[in-house]
Amino acid sequence: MGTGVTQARMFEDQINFAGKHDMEKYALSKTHTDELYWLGRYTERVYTSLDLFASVFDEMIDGDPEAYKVMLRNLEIADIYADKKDFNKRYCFDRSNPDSIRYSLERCFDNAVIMRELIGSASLSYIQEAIYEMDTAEKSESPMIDLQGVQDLIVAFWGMTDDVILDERVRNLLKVGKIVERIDLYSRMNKDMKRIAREVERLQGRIDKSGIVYDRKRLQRMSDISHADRHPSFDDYQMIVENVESLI
Amino acid sequence: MDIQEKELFRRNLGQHSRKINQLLARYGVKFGIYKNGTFKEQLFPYDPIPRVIEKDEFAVLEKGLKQRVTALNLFLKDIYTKKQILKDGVVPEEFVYAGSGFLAQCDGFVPPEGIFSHISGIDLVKGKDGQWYILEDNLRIPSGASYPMIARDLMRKATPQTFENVHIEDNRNYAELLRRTMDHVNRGGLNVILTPGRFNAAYFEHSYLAEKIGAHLTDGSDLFVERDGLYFRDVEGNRERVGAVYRRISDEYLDPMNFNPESVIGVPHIFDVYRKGGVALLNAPGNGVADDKGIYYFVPKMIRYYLGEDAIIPNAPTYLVYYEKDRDYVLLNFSRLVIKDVAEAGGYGVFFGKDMDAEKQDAFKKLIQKEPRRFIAQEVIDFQDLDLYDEGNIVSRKADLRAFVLMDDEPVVWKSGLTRFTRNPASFVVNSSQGGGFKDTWVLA
Repeated sequence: MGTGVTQARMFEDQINFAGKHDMEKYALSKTHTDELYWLGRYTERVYTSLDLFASVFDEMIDGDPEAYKVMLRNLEIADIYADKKDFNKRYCFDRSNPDSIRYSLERCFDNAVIMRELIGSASLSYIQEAIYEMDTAEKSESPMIDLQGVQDLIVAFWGMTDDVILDERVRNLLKVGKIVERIDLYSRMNKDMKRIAREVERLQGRIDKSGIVYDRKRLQRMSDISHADRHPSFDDYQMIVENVESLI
Repeated sequence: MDIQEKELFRRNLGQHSRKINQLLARYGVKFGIYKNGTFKEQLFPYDPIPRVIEKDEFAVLEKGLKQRVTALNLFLKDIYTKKQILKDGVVPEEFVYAGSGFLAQCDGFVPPEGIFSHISGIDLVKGKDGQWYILEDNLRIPSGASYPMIARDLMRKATPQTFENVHIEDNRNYAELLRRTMDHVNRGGLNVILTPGRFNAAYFEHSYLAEKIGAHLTDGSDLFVERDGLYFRDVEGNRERVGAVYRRISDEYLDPMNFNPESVIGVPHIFDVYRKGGVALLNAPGNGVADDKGIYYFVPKMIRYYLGEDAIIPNAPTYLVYYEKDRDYVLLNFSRLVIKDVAEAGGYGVFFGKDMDAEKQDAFKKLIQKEPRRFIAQEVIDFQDLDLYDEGNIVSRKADLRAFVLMDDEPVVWKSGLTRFTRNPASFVVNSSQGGGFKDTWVLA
């Protein structure tokens, strides 16, 4: 039986071995605060865009070959694609296209790689791996199968950050970015208002803990609209988009 | 181990090559290079067959490296204060003042605890006769320790039985050594790693070391100087004093108010705070005066001058074309020597006489006569090849060793090192920027 000090030390060693990032007193810079928020947003953008793409991809197999145009319109993305084949390729993989999933994934990496000391090598490695998986998907005969791997790695990244980052502000900043992006995309796609309301509730529970500066009135408006006891209108969705975009 | 056992051992390690390299890629173990004005990140190829150094052999290296780094620190202190070694004619003045390494701004100043070179990277090769030679001293911002650190971590997972059976010094204490080195000179406040940013060749290392030692990694935009202090500004506008900066920015870009005014990556007035003793900078600005390829020639003389000892590890036989006698020798033996431009680094500016035709040799000879301070010449050391695993085969390639010496109360030699190898069988140039790879260095316990 060791002394209390030894046991504490052993516990500390175990924590370190597991790659925990115990930086509870770590002063967060303005730059890192922004990067964490945007890292959260971009990971969600990649994840949900892949979901949306999968849905449209399926629809276009034996249905409307121009189904992608509706998605683009809802997301206010310029339709620069010649046809569905061009869309399938460039919306996913074109590095120079700021609306592509690849582009968002690289922005995830840009934000993550400069915060290794905050999020940890283990977390960062999932974003790097997602990029490699994206490379594989680009060359693949069946890219949808490989793109599933990209989504899996984003989920693994979220799980890892939850597990290894002990600083609550850092975790909350990532999550605030993630939820903001989700509310934005879901609203643009006119998803079930109950799902949006749930995300708004999550945001309300999280945002004050992140220390980020935000507009309280806008968050309240989002909550009021998403919880309104009526069938949501197009304007309701638009109002949520407008408020979430100007929230931070 | 007999020859067959050794071969089997190497093959067993070698078979992990693909997987470990995949993992290293996943962890972002890369370095950046600029080619034709474009930044490209490249993987740093890893070979799992380590360089192995026996305990007794390393003990000699350790002693020699401590001796050398102690002398180099004394030289730096002397050059920036009394300049006695110049007055005594051991080192010619022009070798100190003519190069770009001497910083007049540092003159008369001794850094905290009298340490100039906190982290020294000393490049060595082992000759076929078993003799180690020093090839180069790196006292500014030597990089490379992170690569064997992370490789060791992964190899222990890949082949735990190897590490159970072979008693090897654990090299993962580098972060602890570095933290101690920083704490030792810290003036009170945070430890910070100052990076030029993610497009720097060694960015992986900057971020990995920041993670491992629990330091802030910053590009300087969060740092500011007020009165005699350096501060870190957080998102809420609070400030925290910074006590030590492990800067991975070269001297000229460190402070636009004191050095290159066009620098956008440094911290204005950081040097003023440093000179007033408000913050420690690791390594000290101005160290370039001691790791210049021309000054290298004089290091054994420094050891004798400051410590009254002979150098334990010799330099590679070197000629200074500045001296007439050496110049004559170099001109006469040009085709078998390697000529180095003292202003270049990273494997650039290295010319082998044997690779030049007669016309080029003549032109080069004229150049070195015209600019004798610019070049040194060395005998080509036929250094030992190391085995590496190449797609199922064991092949031999030239390799060097970068040893790291950290200065705390006294110099501490890290019991490992970065072994770099050339992938080109005809080449002696091992630098990563020239396509080389790396190995871990095992020091037997």
